[in-house]
Amino acid sequence: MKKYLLSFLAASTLLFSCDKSTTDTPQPEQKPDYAMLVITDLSNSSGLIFSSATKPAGNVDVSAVTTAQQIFNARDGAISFGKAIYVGANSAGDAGIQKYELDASGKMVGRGFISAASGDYNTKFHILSETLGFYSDRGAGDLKIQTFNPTTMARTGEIDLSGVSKKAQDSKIKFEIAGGRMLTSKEGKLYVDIHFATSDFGFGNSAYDAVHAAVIDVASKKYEKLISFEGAQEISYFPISLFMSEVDENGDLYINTMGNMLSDTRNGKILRIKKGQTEFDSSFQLSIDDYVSGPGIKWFHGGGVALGGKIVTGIKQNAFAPDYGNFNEENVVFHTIDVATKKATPINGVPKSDFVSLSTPYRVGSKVFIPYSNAKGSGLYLYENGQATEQFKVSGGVVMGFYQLGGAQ
Amino acid sequence: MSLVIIVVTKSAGQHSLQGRVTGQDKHSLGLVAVSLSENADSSLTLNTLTNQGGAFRFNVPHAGQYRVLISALGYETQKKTIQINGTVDLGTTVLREKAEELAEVTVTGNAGTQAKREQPIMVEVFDLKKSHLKSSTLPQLLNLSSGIKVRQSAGVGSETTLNLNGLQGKAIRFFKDGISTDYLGRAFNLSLIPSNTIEQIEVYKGVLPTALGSDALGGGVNFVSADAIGTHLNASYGLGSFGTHEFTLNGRAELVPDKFFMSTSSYYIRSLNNYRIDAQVTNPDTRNRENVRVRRFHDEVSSLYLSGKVGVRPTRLLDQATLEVGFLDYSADVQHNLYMSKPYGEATLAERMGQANLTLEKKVENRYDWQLFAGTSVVNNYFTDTTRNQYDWHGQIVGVASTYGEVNGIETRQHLRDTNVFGRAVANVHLHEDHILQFSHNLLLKERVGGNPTGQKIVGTEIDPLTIPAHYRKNVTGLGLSSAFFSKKITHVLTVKRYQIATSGVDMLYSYDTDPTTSTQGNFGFSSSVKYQLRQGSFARLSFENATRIPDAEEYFGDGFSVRGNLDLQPERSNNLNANFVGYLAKSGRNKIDFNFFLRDQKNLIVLVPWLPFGSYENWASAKVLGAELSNSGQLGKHLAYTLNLTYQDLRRTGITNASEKLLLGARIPNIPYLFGNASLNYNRPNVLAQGDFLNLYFSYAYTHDYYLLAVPRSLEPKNIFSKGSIQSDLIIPTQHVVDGGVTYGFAKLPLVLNAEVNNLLNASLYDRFRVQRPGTNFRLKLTYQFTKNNS
Repeated sequence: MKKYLLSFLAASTLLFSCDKSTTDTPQPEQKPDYAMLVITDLSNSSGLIFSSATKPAGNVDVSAVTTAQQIFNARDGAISFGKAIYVGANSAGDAGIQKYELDASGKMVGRGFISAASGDYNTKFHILSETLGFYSDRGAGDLKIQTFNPTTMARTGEIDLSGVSKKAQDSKIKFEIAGGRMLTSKEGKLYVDIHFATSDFGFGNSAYDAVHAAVIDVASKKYEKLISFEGAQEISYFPISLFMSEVDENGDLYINTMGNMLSDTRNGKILRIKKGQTEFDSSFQLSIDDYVSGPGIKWFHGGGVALGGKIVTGIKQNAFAPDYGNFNEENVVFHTIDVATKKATPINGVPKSDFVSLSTPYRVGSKVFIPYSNAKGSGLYLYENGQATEQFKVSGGVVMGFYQLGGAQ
Repeated sequence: MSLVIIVVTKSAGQHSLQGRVTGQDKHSLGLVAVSLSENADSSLTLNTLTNQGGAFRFNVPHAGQYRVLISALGYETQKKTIQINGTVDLGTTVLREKAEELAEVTVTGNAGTQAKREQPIMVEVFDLKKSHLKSSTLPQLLNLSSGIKVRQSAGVGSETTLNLNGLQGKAIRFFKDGISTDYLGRAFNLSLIPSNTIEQIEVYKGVLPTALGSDALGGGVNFVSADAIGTHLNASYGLGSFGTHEFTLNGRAELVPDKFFMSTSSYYIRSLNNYRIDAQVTNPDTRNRENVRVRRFHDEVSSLYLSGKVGVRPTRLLDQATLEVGFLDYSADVQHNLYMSKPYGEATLAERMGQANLTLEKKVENRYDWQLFAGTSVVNNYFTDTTRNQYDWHGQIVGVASTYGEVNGIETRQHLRDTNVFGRAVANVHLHEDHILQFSHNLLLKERVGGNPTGQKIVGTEIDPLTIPAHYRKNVTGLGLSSAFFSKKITHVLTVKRYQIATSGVDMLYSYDTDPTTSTQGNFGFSSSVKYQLRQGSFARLSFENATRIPDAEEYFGDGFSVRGNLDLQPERSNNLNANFVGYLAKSGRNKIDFNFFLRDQKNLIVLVPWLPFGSYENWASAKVLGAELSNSGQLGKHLAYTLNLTYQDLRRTGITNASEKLLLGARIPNIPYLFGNASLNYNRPNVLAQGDFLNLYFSYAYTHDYYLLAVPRSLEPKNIFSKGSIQSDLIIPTQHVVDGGVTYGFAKLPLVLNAEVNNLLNASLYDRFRVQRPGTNFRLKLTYQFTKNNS
C-alpha cells in the first residue's frame, strides 16, 4: 500500500515543477518618481497601478513591472497629489477614497482608506491641499459634502447644502444630489454640482433644462449660493478619469455637461465660469451639435481642459446609439476648439481612440496629456505649444493616467 | 454464494417472473444482471437488468422449473431455483456486499453505479444511498471527488457554482431524471436539496449522452431521484449549528401491488446562517474601517419542496405511466453585496413554483424502449428592496439614505413569472445485438413576464418593460448510435445534436420600443466516445465533443436593472477532449486508480462587460483548458477504506487580437480554482453493539490552492505553486484547508440511524468567493427512520 501511496504522491508532484530560477523581485535602486495607471482587463476594468524610476518612454512593457498593485477598478481613474495617488475606490472596488504611496522598496501600496457609506462603485472627490479635501457620499446625505484630510486619510466633517433644495416648491423633483458629478475649486470657492432629478436612475432624469452648482466658501466651509445655466443638462459624469471640469492657466473654470444622455432632446455642452466670477458665463457655450451633425445622443469626451485659449477634447464622429451599443467604436478624434472663434481643429498625430478607457485629456501645468486606446494599442501623447508628441505606448492594456509624484511633469 | 429453492404455483395462461433486488441497507439496486435458465432446457436462457428501482421482470414462454442467477459487481452472487406457473413474484432479493469491494467510500458502488461508470461516455456516478444517512450536504459530497469543485458563497442555501474539468457556471447544465431543471426554479439548488431526496448524481465530464438534450458547453449534472419499488419510507430530521433544521420525507406505497403506487419526495430546510465572520465596520466619524468579529444577521433561508407522484404499471400499452406534481416555497434574506463590503438588513428574495409532469414509458427487451415526458411549471420570483435604512455589520441601523433600496439604491418590488412547458421524447432501438440507435428531442418553451412598479420605464412611455412578455423557445434534437465490437471489448457512442433557439422580447433594462425584437439561432454539435476494455474493471476511454451553449434569456434581454440586452450574441463553442484510464494497482483489485486528462478549447465565451453607462453580455474571450485529475481508492485492512483525489487544471486565455487586451494572452482565467485535492477515510464496522448493527466513522480533508480573483498577466503570476507573483494584490482567494468528520450508527433491531458530524474542525477561515466567509466549526445531528415492507 505504501508503495502505491508514494507513487500517487510522486505523480502528483510531477504536475508542479518548482522553477529554481525564481527569486525575489529585484528592488529598484532609486525611489521612483513616476507612476502609471493601466487597465489590464477591459472585461471588468481591473488594472495595475505601478511606479517607475525613470520617465516612461517608447514601449513600456507592463508585463515586466515589479512594483504593481492590482486594483479592482482602474477605469474610473486616479489623481496624483504630492507624492501620493488617490483613487475613488479601494483595491477591492469598495467605494471611498484610497491613497497609494511608495513603500521603502518603491512599490505602490495602500496607505489609508476612507469608506463611503453609499453603494456607489466610485467616489467623487477633490483635493485642495495636504490637509483639505472634499468628497460626495450619498450614503451620508444627498445634500451634504464631506471633508477629509488627504494626509491622515480621515474624514473631518461635512458641509450642509440643504439650502439649495427646491423639492418643497416643485413636485416633479424626486431627488436632489450634491457633488455626484463635479467637485472643483477656483479662487477660494468650491463648486459642487446639484442634480435636481425626477427619478433615481443615474442619468437622463434632469428635472430642468438647466444645470446647477452650489458655491461654497472654502475658508468658512459655508454655502453661499446656487448658480445655474439654462439650456444644458447633467454636469459631467461620475468617473474621475473624465476630467470634466478644470481651471485653465488663465483661471477660467471650464465645465463639460453631458446633456440628457438618454435622448437627444438635449446634448452636451461645455460651459465656463470666468476668472473673478462666481456665476456661469452666460455668453459662452460650446455645443456638440455644432461639431457632429445629425440626430442622436452626443457629448464631448472631456472638455474641462483648456490651454492657451483652446479647449482640448475628444469628439466622437457620430452619435451614440440609443442603448450606447456603439460606445466603443474607434472614431473619437482629439481636437482643439478655439474658445474665441469656436473653431475645432483635429490635433495632428494623435490616433483615433475607441474610448473604452473612459479617459480624456488632462492638464498638468502648461502641458496637456492625451491618453488614447484603439485596436493597435494604447499610449499617451503630450500636447504642448500647439503640437502633439508621443510620450510612450504600453505593451498591452489601456493607459488611464501617468503621474509624476511630487512634481510637475 | 447461497442457494435457495422456492416453489410457487399459480394460474394458467401467460407466465412471468418478477422481483426486486436490494442491498443490505435495503436500498434498491439498479442495473443488476438477472439471468433465468430453464432446468430442463439449458438453451433457454433469458437475461435482463434491474431498473432504477431494483425491479426486474421476465415473460416466460412456458411453465417449468427455472434457475435464477442474480449478480452484480461488488456483491455476492445469488442463485435461486423456482417453479414458474403463471405470474410469480420472487419478492425482494438482498445482495450482500463482498468484503473486498468496500473500498469506495463516498462514491459508493453498486452494480448499477458501476455499469454507468463504465460507459464509453465519461461519467462520475455518486451513489448517495449511504450518504443519505449522513448530515453532509451535496456540495460537501461532490467535493470529495476529482475534477469537480463546488464553490459555495456562504452558508445554507447560498449560491453555488460547480466547476467541472475547468468549466463552470452556465457552461454546466443540470438535469433531474434526465430532464433539464430549467423549469424547476430553485427546487434543485445544490446548496438546498438534501441528499435523501436523490438516489444518485451523474456528473458527465464533457460529453452528454444523447438522452440528455441540452446545450451544455462542458458537461452536465443529472440528479437521479429515489424511485425504489415496493412500499418503503425514509424520514429524517437534521439539526445543525446556526439555527439549521432539515426534514425530509421520502416514501412509496404500493396501493395495488405492482399495479398502482403513490410516492413522495419532499423536504423542508431552514437556517438562520448567523455564523461568525470577520468583517469591517466603519467608524462613523473618520470613516476608517476597523476589523470586527460579528455574526451574520440577515441571512435566513427556508425552502419547502413537496412532491407527490402516482403511477400505474404495467398496462397493455405501457410499462409505466406516472403523474407527478411539485410545489416549492422558497424565501431568503439578502445579507450583503457581492464582496461583502456592505451589509443589508431588509432586502429579500422569494420564489414560488408549481409544476406537474407526466411520464410514459415502454420497454420491449432487446427490441426497443421509449419514454415520453411532458411537464409544465409556473415559477414566480420576487425581489423586494424598499428600505432607506443603512445597516452596519452589527446589524444596527446607522443611517437613513435619501433613496429607497439598499441593494441598488433603487426601490425595487420586482416580480417575474416564468411559465414553462417542457417536453422530451427518448427512444432506443436495438438494430442489432451490438448496435442501438438512440433518439431524443427536448423542447422548452418559456414565457417571462412581470413588473416592477418602481423600475425604469420604456423611454418616452410609462410602460414597464417587464410587463411585455419575453418568449424563449429551445429545441434540441439528438441522434446517437451505440455500438459494441469484438465481443464488447470496444464500445463506441456517436451522437449528433441540433440546437435551435428562438427568442422574442424587449430589452428589459432600457428599451425605446414596445415591439419585441425576435431572434433565431441554430447550431449542430457532435460527439464521439470510445472505450477499450483491458480486462475486468480496467479500461481506457477517449471522448471528443464539439459542444455549443446558446445564450440564455438574461444574456439576450438584459436583467432589467444594469445590463442591457444583446440580441447579437453568438453561441459559445467548445471542443472537449477527455482521455481516461481506470484500473487497479494490484491484482487483488483493492486499489483502484483513475486518471483523466482533459482539454477544452473554447470560443466566443460570453462575459458581462461593464460599458458606460450600461453593461452588456458580449462574446469576449477564447480559452484553452488543459488538466489532469488523479484518483486512487482502496482498502487499508478489512474495515478501513480510503480515497485520494488531486486535480490540476491550467485555464488560459487564447486568441486575443485586440492590442488593449494582449497583456492577458496566456493569462490564467481568474476566479477559478486550479489546484485542489482531497483525502478521506472511512471506517466501517458491523455488529458493534449487537448483531446487525453498523458503525461508520468518516473523516475528510480538502485542499484548495489560492487563486486570483482577477486576471494577472502571465509573467506576473507565481512561477509555481510555492512562490508568490510579481505583483501586489489583495484580490486573492486564499488557500483553504477543510477538515470534516462524522460518525453514523445504525441499529439492527430499530429502524433508526443516528449521525453526528463536525464540519471545519480546524475552525479555519474559509472562502470560496472573494472575501465572503463560510462558516467556522459547526455541528450537525441527523436521525433517520427507515422502513421497508417486505413483500417476499
